[in-house]
Amino acid sequence: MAFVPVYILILGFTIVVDYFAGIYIEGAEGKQRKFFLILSLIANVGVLAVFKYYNFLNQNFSFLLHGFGLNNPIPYLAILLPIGLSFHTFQAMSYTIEVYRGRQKAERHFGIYSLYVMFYPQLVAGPIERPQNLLHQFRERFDFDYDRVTSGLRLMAWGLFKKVVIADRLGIVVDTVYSNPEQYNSLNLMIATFFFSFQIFCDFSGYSDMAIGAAQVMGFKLMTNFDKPYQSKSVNEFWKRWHISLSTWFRDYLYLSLGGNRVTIPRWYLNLFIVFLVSGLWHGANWTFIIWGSLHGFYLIFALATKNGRERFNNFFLLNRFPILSVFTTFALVSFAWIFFRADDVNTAFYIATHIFTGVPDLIKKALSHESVFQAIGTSKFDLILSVVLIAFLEIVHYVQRKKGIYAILNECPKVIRWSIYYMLLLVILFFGEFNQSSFIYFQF
Amino acid sequence: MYKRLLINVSILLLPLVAVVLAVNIKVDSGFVINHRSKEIAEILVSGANAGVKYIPSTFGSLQTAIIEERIRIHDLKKKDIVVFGTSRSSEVNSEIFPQNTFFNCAVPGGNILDYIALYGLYNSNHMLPKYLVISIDPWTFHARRAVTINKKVQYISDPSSPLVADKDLESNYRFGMVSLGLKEEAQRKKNARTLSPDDLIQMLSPDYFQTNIQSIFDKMVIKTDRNNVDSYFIIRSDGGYSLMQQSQIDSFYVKENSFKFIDVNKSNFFISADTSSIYWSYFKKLLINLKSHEVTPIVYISPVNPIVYEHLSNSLRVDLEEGIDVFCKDNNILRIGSFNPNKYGYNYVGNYFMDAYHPVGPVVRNIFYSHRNELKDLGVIISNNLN
Repeated sequence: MAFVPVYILILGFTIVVDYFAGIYIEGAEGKQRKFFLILSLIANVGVLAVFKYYNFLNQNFSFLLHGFGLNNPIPYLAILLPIGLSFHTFQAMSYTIEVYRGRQKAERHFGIYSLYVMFYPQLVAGPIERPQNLLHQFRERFDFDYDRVTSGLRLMAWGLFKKVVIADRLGIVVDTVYSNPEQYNSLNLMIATFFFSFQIFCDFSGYSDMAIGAAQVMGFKLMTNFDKPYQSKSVNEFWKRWHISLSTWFRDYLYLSLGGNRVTIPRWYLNLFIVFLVSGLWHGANWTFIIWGSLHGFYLIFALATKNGRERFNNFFLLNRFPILSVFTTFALVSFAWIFFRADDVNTAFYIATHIFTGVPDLIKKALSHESVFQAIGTSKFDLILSVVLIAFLEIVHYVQRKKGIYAILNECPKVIRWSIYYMLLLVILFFGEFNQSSFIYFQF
Repeated sequence: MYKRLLINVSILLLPLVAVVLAVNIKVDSGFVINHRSKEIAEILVSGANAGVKYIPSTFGSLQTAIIEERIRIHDLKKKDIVVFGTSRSSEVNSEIFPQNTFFNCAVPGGNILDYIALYGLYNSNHMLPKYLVISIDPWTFHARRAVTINKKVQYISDPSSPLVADKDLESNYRFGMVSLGLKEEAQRKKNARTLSPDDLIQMLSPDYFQTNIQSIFDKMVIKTDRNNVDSYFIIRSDGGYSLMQQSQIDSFYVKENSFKFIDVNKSNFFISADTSSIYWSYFKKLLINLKSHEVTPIVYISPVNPIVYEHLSNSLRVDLEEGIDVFCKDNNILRIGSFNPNKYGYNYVGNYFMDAYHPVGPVVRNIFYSHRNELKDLGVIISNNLN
């Protein structure tokens, strides 16, 4: 992932191709429409293939040839992955597909179309917008609206809090453990994986909040990207609440194109699996992402295949009276999958995935004999406790938001209390923010 | 409406900015705007050691400033033994030489141009010692460039660039160059004691604020007779210092750091690359000139961590050390130490190295002790206390 100024030409290339493709698709009839759509898709997917997947595929091809004792004559490309490539490519593709489906008029104004692809708040990490939602907004006139601007600023501050106070703090532990998992026992592997689940949520949703907030300050409304995903009661529900702009993209343009659920059951399962496999690959050219996507595909298929049996089981043991159990199970499954998302390579991921549980009996033995099971994991006890408190605080905020939006509650508070809360938030950012940490995780995609 | 927003945002943010600014200026734990070199020099002149809360980010320049300050207040009387070196030789201290007066001018990251500047400083003050220990480090003849690797600033070799001399010692550098009959002009480092836009931005940094707030009730500079004080970095009155206490060494960090060092510093172990040959000639000139002033030069090389050396010796020849060997033999100059830790029995990491290239105090003392006979022949007695 890199920002190389000359790579702006790639963006320029896809903009020009998709701009004209949109106009030609709209003006064409029958097979010609499909031809122009396919041209546009080839251009977009081609750019992704070259910059994101070429070396990965070549590497795997080499590995395959090596198995037969042959050398790979195809050279590797010395290129870097342009920042945010997958995001703006998908946004551009959604435009030509929507024009093809007749749900969006082709944009004739080149500047406005370019702005649709390059709109800065969401250019590098989404939300991946749809033309129906965004394009028309560029033609509207926005007057200064105090409430809208302050609401956008509040959302940005909340996003900043999630990023620098929670995500980057948790990242210290996660980086320490995941860079040398062999050094740590099961408990620490669990803590790091648990922390990563919240790190990636706060990192990515924090960015989305800042992007949506920044757009809102200027008068634009972007789509919601996260909706309290860790309160989901199933993996299926999780995907309706996590990275909504991407999951709906895959639903609208891939899953439904494959036939969705209006096919035979085996084919339906296959469609689901393909979607999650591609979703994994979208995140990165690495087997870890492919396994992560496949794991989610497997979760969903397993859940569908065992739905009746599980319902009977839950009814019999009265488990359906405790929905919190479903929340915990879903969180555990999602967190387990995150191991593959976070680990640097497949070997590391499998090491963690296996050792996270196998060391538990040993831990219990140690705990029973009053031996310490804690190891130094790159942070002080105070920071560790603070991290847990922050996660609890985050989920409390999410819980409160279930009934009424936090901003609505704020607006009802007397000014003194509201301002005290603002000051508290800023002071917490100032005192507990990690300001020399990494950039956003999703920038690499 | 705009006005209301502006006023509200100002009311919200300005007090916070003011607090950050006030704390950062008042505490300034990194010595960014308040360099305190005079305060530290005065402590050292009194014969005590000085402790600073953090290793200042500009410690290289601070150290030269302290040395200059000490000389200005006529503290550094002519000594028997002086070290021109870097952090790798900062553990050479007066206890090793019980029968001689001693001072260590260990400037972190120092290179041959800094040595010439120190030579100019000593020569112009008529304080050249009887014995001058000159430390050779991988970067002595190479320019280095600061890069960020894994979010940390590291220095990588940049053999094609000219070396940079410390601006604090500029006049001394010029004097040194003239004394040695050299004309080559070097680039100057930024004078660390001049405020730059970066320094001012640092004063608004929330990260710096967090560091400062933790030390708000601590003394930034203390006077002490001890060599170790918890959570303070000690500059000894004899000029030396320890980058880390033995108890702070993290063997896991040492290993990790070693591999990073190998990757970015390989080419530092050569003198043949590009500009380094010019500076190599400066070095030879300096040694010969010292001899003409009846100063006995002693070339000292601190070992690197065994992990680093093993990797180097497997993959390439350390021709810098070979070149020094040949030159010292030809000119009858005593050379002690080696990049190779095995020569002194340090063939595993243990707690002998605090990172990839900084040996701990006992290692340095042992190296001098191993050469006690050769040093005795020169008239220098080495202490047999190795701890």
